[in-house]
Amino acid sequence: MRYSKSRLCGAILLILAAALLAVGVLAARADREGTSLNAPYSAALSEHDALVAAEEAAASVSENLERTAKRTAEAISEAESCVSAATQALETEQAGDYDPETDVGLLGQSILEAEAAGADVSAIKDSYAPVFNAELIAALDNALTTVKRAESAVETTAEALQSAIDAALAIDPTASFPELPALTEADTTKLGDSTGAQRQLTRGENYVLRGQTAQSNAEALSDAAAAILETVGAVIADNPVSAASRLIVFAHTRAADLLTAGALLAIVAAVLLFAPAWLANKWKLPLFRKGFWFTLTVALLAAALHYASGEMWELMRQGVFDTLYMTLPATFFSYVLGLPLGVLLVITSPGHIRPNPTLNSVVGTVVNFLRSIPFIILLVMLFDVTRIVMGSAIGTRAVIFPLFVSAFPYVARIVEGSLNEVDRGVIEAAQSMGSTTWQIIRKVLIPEAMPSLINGAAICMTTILAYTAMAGSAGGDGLGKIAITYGLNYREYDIMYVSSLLLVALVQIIQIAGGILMRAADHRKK
Amino acid sequence: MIKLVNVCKTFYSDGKEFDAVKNVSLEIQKGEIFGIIGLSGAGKSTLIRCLNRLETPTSGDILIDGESVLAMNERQLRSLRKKVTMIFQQFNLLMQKTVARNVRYPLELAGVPKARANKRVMELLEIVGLSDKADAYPAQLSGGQKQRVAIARALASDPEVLLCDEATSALDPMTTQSILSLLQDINRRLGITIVVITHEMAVIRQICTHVAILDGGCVAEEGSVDDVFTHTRSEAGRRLFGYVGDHTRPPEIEAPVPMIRIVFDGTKVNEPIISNLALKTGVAVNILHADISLLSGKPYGQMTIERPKDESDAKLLIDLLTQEGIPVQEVSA
Repeated sequence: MRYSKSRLCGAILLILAAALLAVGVLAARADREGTSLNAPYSAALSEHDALVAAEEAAASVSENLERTAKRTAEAISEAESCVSAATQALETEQAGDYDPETDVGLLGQSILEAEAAGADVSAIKDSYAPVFNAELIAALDNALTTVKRAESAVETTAEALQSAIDAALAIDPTASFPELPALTEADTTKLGDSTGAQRQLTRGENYVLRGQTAQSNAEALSDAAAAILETVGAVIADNPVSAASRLIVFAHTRAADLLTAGALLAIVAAVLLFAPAWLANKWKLPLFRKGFWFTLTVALLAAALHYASGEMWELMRQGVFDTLYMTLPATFFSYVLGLPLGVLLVITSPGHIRPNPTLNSVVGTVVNFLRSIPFIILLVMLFDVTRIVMGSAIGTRAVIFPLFVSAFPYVARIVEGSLNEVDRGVIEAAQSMGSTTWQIIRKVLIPEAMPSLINGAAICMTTILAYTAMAGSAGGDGLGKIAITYGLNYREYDIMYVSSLLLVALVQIIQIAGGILMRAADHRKK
Repeated sequence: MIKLVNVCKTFYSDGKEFDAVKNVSLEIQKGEIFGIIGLSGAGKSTLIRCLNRLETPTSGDILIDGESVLAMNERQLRSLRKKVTMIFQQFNLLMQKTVARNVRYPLELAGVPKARANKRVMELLEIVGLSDKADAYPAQLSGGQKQRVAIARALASDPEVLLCDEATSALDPMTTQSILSLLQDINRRLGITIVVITHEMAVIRQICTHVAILDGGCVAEEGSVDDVFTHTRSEAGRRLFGYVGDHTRPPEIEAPVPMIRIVFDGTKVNEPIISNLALKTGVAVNILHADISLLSGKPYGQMTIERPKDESDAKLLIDLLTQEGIPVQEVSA
C-alpha cells in the first residue's frame, strides 16, 4: 500500500470536515427552529448550572454583607452630620440672626434680586420667615440617597441569602436552613407638617433612625448568613459536578470556538499535510489531489455554514439558491449556442474539414466583439433587449439573459480550444472512411474532445458564477450581491466573508465535479 | 484497377509554390501489393492521399475501376472511400472509444444494424487476432495492436483497396514483421489490393509484388520487385537500396575504391560463389559488403567486392560471374 499514508490523511480530514459540516448544519437548523442543540445534555447542564448558581450566590452574599455594612455606616454618619447642621440652623433661626447672603440659598437670591430692583423685600422675608438653608437641604438630600442605598443593600443582601438558600435547596432539597431575620422598618412618621429649620432637623433625625435600622437589619442578616453560608458550602461540597458534566458544559460554552478551531484546523491540516507532498510530486495518485481539494472545500463549507446560523443561514441559503438559479440556466443556454458556434469556428478554420474563411472570420469577429464588452456594461446595454426577452429588465431571473449573452462567446472560444486539441490524424482517418461532416462532428470531434469539453464547461460555469456577483446592479440577488450589499453598504463584514466563502466553495465544487467527470470520460490514460 | 495519369500536386504557401508530385503515371493491378518507396519529402504521402482524394491533385487524373476520382461529387467520394480505405503511420484511432467501437465506426457510418455490426466487428477482430481486446481502449494497446485495430477498421467496409501510409514506420522491427505478414495474409485471403507507402526497403522486399521508386515527386523507376531490385537502373533506386554512398562502405576503407556489385537472384545463393571465384580465377576476392535475406519468400543476396586493380583479373572475374548467370554491376568509386 504505497499510498496508504495519503489515504489515511485524506480519510481523517474528510471525517473531520464531514463532522464539522454535520454539526454546522444541525446548529444552523436548530438555531432557525429556535430549539437548542443541547437538549440531550440538559440534565448535565442544569446540574452544573445549579452548582454554579449556589457558588455564585454564596459569594454574592459575602460581598453584599460587606457592602451593606459600609453603606449603613456611611448613611448614619451623613445623617448625623445633617442633624448637627440642622440643630445649628434652628438655633440661628430662633435667634433671628442670619445672613441671607451666606445662609440663604435660592430664597436669599430672590431677596437680593428684589433689593437690587428697589422692590420691597420685607414681604418676601416675612412670608419665608422660616429660614431655608440650601446647603443643609442638599446635604439632607445626599443623606437620603445614601440611606436609601444602605436600605437597598440590606434588601439585596437578604435576597442574595434567599437565593443562596434556594440554590442549595435545588441541589439538595433536604438541607435545612435557619429562618431569615425579618427586616424592621424605622418609624419616620414624626416629620409632620413642621417648617423651616425644625423640618430639616426632623428629616435629619429620621435619616439617622433609618440608617440605624438598616444597620441593625444588616447585623441580623450577617448573623444569620454565617450559618446559612456554612450549610450552602456543605451542600456544594457534598454534591460535586461530575467530570462528564463538566466536559459537556465546557463543550457547550465553547462549542462555537471549537467549531471554528476545528474548521481552521482542517484547512491548516489539509494544507500542511498535503501541500508539501503535492508540491514534491511524490504521490501522483489522482485521488490524493482530489482528496486535498475536496477536504479543503468541505472544510470551507463547514466553516461557512457554521457561521451561517439563524437569519444569516436563511440569507445564505437564499444566496446560494439565487446564484445557482442564475448560473445553471445561463451556462446551459450558453452551451446551446456556444457549442455549435465553437464547432463552426473549428470546422471552418483553414485546413479543417469545412474551410470557409468568410464564415470563420465573421463568426470570429462577432465572438470577439461580444467578449470584449465587460459584463457590467453589457448588462446595461442589454436592458431593452432583456425586457423583451425575459419580460423584465431587472431581477434575478432577468439577469440570466445578459449572463447568457456575455458567456456564449466565451463558451464558443473554450469549445473551439477543446475541439482543436483533437488529433488531426484522427479526423483525417474519419474522412478517409467516408464520414460526412456531421458524422465527424458528432462521432469524432465531440466525443474525442469530451474530457477537454467537460473541463471547459467547469471553467465556463465558474466564470458565469463570478459574473453573477454583478447581478446586483440589475436587481438580481445571489451571494455576490449579498457580499457587496452587506460588506460595502452595511459594513457587516462577517456576512461578506461568509457569502464570499460560499462562492469559493461553489467554485471548488464545480471544479472538483468537473475534474472527476473529466477523468471518468477520459480513456487516453487508462 | 487504379490508374494514375500525369498526376501533379502543387502546394502553395506564403506565396511560394512547391511541387510535391510531378507528372506521376502509374498503373496498379487488382490483387497486387504495390509499394511506393522514396526518401522523406519524395512526395509519396501526398501521392497516396490523392488516391482517396484526401488531397486533390492539381492536374492529371486518377481512375479507379475506370472512374475518375477527380470528377466525383461528395457523395460519390464518400462511397469511394468506403471502397478504398486507409491505415496510417500514427494509427489514428478514436482514443475515447473501445477497440470494438473503433472497428464498428465504418459500419455505423454505413448504417449497418447494431447486432450485425457487432458480429462483423468480432469477425474482423478475429482476422487481426485481437478478439480478446474488444473492450480495451486504444491507450491500453501496444503500437502493433493499435495498427491491427486500424487494419480491422479499414477492412470493416469490405474495401477493394487498402492504402497503407507508412503503416509500419512507427513500429519496431519485430512488430513490423507481424503487421506485414498480416497485410500479406489479407491480400491473399481477401484479394484486397494493397498500396504501401514506405521509406523502408525491408517492407518492399518482404511483401510487395510491384514497386515504384519516387524521387523528388517523380517516378524514378517502376516494375516488379524482383526486377527493380536485381536490375536497379535509377540513381534514386541505388541510393535507396544502399549500394552507393558512404554509409554502405565499410569504415576501414579510407579511400574510395572501384567496386563490383553481385546480385543473387535466389537460385544460386546456396552455392559457394566466392570460393568458386577464388579457386577458378586465382584472384583474391576482397568482400566489402554482403547482405542476404528473404525476398518475397525467396532468398536474395547482394554483395559488394573490391574490383581487382589488375584489369585482366577484373575481366576474368566479371566474365565468370556472368557465365554463372549472376547479374554483375560495376560501381565506380
